[in-house]
Amino acid sequence: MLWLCIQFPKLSLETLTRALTPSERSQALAIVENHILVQPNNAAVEYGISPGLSTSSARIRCPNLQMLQRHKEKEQRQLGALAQWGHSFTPMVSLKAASPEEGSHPPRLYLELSDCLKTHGGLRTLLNQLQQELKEMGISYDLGLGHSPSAALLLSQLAEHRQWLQQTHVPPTAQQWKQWGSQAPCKLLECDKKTIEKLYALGFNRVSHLLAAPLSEVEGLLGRIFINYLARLSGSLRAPISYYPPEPLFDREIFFATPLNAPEQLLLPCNLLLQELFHQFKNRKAYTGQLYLQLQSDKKSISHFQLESSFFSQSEVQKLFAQIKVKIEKSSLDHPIHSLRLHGSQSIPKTLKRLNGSPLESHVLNIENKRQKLIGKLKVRLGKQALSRIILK
Amino acid sequence: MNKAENLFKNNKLNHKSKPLLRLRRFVGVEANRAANGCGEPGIATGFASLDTLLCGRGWPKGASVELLANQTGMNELSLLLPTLAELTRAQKMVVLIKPPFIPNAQLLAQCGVQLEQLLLVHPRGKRDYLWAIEQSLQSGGCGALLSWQGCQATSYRELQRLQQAAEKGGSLHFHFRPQSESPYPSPAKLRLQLKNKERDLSLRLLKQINGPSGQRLVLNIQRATPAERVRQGLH
Repeated sequence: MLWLCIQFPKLSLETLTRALTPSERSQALAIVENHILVQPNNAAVEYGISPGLSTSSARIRCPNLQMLQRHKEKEQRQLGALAQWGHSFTPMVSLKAASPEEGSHPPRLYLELSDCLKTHGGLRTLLNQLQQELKEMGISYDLGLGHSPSAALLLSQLAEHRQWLQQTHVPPTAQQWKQWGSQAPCKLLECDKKTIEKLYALGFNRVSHLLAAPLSEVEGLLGRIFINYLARLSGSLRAPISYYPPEPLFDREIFFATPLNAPEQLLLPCNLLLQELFHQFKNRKAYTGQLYLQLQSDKKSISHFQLESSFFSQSEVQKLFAQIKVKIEKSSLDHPIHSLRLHGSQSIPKTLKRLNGSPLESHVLNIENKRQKLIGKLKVRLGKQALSRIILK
Repeated sequence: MNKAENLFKNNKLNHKSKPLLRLRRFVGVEANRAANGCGEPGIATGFASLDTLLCGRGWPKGASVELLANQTGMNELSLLLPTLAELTRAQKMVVLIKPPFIPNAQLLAQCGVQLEQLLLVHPRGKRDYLWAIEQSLQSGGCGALLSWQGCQATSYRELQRLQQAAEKGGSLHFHFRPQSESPYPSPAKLRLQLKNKERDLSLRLLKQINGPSGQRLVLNIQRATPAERVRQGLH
């Protein structure tokens, strides 16, 4: 097994700010929950703002600090969307939201890669693709590669391992795993705060100290659950994993911290959503017949645009973008737009569909795809006027 | 399409009298197929009497079917309506290339043809006409393709390319050609001569690969009278 752990350390911030322009992002911003700062951006950190600070103290340090209320539901939706994206690489995806019991671990995704390395052209190509797509989505990440999800999480927090991951072409050897794992400090373990404190109090500063101590002693001090965790970390015990079931639909939303008034401002986020759709559908070998673009303003007024799509080339994305551009430019934005949502009415997997009782068995997707290609070809060579349909008046 | 097979049919040799001679012309899979008759079932024509005559009990898949008719009207098209209805119901596109008339939408809908699955293509020259047929057949995106040759002559080589394209795409190809072309050889898997007889359509099997040929058949196709045609707005 080869597990890749992708941690999203700034997900709460990025969920609400990823649609902002670089100049807007350079301003001091912070996510606030119950009058306490949860996540400041880099610009805010420069003012000495750190998580855990109260809003009033933060205002004193940085008067121009823009505070955005944390939206856990949107975060969860974003994490679901990322898990959906993970499905475009491997069918074995596990999702773990941040929980206060586990210390300070941010939300993360686990992808099992051993079975899909060949499909994606090797570890390096796959990692490059993953990193590039995350970058395009505007999501920060930390990667870790391990033989079990626990090991991958531990290693994703080690700078040395992350650096190695930037260059490697092959999965790490058992020796390398052992070396990195034993060097890791105990505070990185996937345990609650109390256990970590206890470990340090007992003198176990590094994982190597723990592994060197007799198991019976450690069990007596920290309990059976901790021993099981260590066994999962070393790979001798298989971790129970709850796999994320892929959603049948494509549904992505971008929120604007500053509402948008001009239609031109919507084009960039639209393109971002289309690229995500393209990557997901291309990798998942699926397509959607109809897409809907939804613009939501603060006053709950929603504008819907229906788009026709048949995917699988970059040119199709451009055509869709042109469709959106025309529709947005035609519409008059009465209210500032707060969020943009792109969702597919139906996501049809590229599987064989048999037509019962008919001698005609067809691969629905292929036919649709080929049909669109053919019509496109005919239009290019013969001109649009050469093609017509019969309509019943 | 095997050249020997075509030559065999076009020269009207009776293969049943010389089975060994026929088998000697094929190798491997083709020999096996030839020995066992046509393996793949065809697509039902919608006329039981015609199905019994055709090898594979229907229109051959992935092959050109030549329909030789002097008049180009709705009656000839009526022969294909059950098949077109079946294909369009299965969400398969049917392409009509250079039709001499625009089919009556109401009549088509009455016969169960899903109009949104029909695509009419009107290429300008012969080159575009042949290109459009070849591309449509090769693409595999259309369930059936109906093309009308008109008065432009088509060479054997060109017909052979169309047949190969149909084989590649696995599509049905119905090629309407004038009856004057019947004496000339063709690579088509099936050749039918059509004649209108009042409300009936007379058929003659000129050529059928892997099957008998020479039979005649009269199909009772409910043809609209000229007055009905005017009423139905056929143009």
